[in-house]
Amino acid sequence: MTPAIHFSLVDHTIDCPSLAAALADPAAGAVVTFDGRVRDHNDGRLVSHLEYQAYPALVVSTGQKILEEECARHGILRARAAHRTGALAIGEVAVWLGVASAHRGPAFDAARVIMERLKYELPIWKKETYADGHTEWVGPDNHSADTGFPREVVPEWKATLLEIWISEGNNFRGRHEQASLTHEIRSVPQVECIAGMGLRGDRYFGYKENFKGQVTFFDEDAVQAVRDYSQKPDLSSSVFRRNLIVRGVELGAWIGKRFRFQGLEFEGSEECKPCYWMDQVAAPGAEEFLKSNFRGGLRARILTSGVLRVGQ
Amino acid sequence: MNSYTVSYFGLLAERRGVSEEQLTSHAGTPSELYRDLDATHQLGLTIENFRVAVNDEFTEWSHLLETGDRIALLPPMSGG
Repeated sequence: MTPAIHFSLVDHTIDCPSLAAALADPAAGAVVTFDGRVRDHNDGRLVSHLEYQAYPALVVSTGQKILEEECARHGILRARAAHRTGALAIGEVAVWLGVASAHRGPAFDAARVIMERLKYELPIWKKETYADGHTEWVGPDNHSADTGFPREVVPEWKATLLEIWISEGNNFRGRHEQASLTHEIRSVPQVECIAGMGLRGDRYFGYKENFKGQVTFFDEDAVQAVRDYSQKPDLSSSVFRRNLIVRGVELGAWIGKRFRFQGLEFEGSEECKPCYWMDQVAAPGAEEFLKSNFRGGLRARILTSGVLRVGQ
Repeated sequence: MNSYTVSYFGLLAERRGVSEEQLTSHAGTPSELYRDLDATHQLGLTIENFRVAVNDEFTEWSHLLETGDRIALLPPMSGG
């Protein structure tokens, strides 16, 4: 004899037809069912797949309790619900609910309230993977995963990363009145950003706690302007010793602001002030030139870890 | 000192680096336990919107713990 009301947690494809068949009841004039499926977008970002994690014992007891309470409240004759765990692709069913009642009013009402409660009360956590490879734990109703409060929408830069420069050591910093060191600066096609630390392989990686210059951005327009100013059309963007040469964003507008770039989150901290070494490597007066119009670049902290790639 | 089994989920499990651990502690309630774990491991999350379960039942952060209890720390949920 099958139970009238049953909640299950499964780690494989939910058998929707079988669950629906269990709702058959000669006294039921109305059967309402709901599929919760994996959507291809969230918060304006493309989702590639997702994963559900559960606390099994408590999910099953809570799910069963929710069904029994609401079925009693609404006069529901039979109910089935199932939630999946593990990895799911776009379009797959994550949660299924069906209720059977004599009349349609209670069936629709019960289905609605049960779904709301399942979403808020089941100890289940969703982790989304986006098209850009970035992953994130999602909070209730897409709120923040760590506080449960509404998430700020962090604006996304529509900029292109043209070059990445990293160097093992400082050539100029702290070397007043001395000749520069000769740490090579290397151009790389991609670089690993570690939140709170910097760019792996770069001299400022882990330099100090909460360092404002974990990464530096520099505008390609500024590179070109200095080339024109110093009449050196082939001047390499490496001479500025900024990490990331970008095009398409006004760097000065991002001081104190969070932003997303290639799926990673940063926070602009301050302008990157040029030093008098610029007069040597570019041309006399270059330092002053760079100080105007925010040409020195943007220092930023890294808030999420991941990889930045040239050309995107 | 009491012995406890602590389970972590979601973002909290990633911060802690494990999904479950056995430990001994002077903490008498889940909120004291979380405070100690946060201080030791810099979990960096506040429990304002977290829930807690002891021995597979939702309970309060002020629940009086006994040795052998299994405590589950539950960040904001996103099922459904």
